[in-house]
Amino acid sequence: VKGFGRIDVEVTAGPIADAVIRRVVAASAAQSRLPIDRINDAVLAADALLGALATSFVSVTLVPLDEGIEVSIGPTSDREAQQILDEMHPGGPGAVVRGLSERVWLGGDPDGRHCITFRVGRDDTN
Amino acid sequence: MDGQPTVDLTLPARPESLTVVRQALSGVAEVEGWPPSFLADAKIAISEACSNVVVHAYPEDTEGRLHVAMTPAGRQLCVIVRDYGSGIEPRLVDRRAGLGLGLPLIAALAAEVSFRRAETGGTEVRMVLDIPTEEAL
Repeated sequence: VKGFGRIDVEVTAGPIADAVIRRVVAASAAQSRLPIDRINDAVLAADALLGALATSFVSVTLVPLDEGIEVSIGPTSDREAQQILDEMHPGGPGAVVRGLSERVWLGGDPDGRHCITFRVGRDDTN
Repeated sequence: MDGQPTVDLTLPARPESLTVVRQALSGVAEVEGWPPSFLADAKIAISEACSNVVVHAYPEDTEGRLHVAMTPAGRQLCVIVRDYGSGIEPRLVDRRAGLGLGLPLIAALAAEVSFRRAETGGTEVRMVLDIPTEEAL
């Protein structure tokens, strides 16, 4: 996990998750000196992944970067995450996330929970 | 309202985190259909509790964490705001002190407020706010 500015959110899946995550992603991205169109990219990409997850709760980690943001969304299995990212038809979550972000990758934690992470904007911290 | 919170946030204890907390609350309000006046009151109460964490919970120049859990249940909203720092302690001289209106404001806006020192350190503020019906306004 990068940076102390990390924000962790857990929300019960459903309409509240959609409304809360959309707003939290936008508020966090706005603190990352991203232009408005890129803030919208982050919100749309998060929306696409939220709609594809089949879980009772949603776990989101946001890491603001100097001129960008990393968003991790889960939990999911490694297989389900890959299936989501493989949905490359127009409007499919894979196509939306890959089209709107600079980088997409799969991550996991020691408990075996997996997540999909994408970065919108630059990462100058490496 | 002791089960899993509907929304659980862990953020840096920095002023800019209050915007994120308020946005999360607005998201819940949008779905639950709360009256705007209640949302405004809830934002004030929660912002005051979060501000206490940002200003008082950690020594200056120390990074700390802020935890906020929100659970709407029927006509009530339960909110827990906690820190992992020194907690709320009486201070003879604190140049970061404000007007001292935060806790009375929370008490005025919430139906119930309680404070406790967490076993793992830090202070937990638990507040329950009554959500009025549109007819009651």
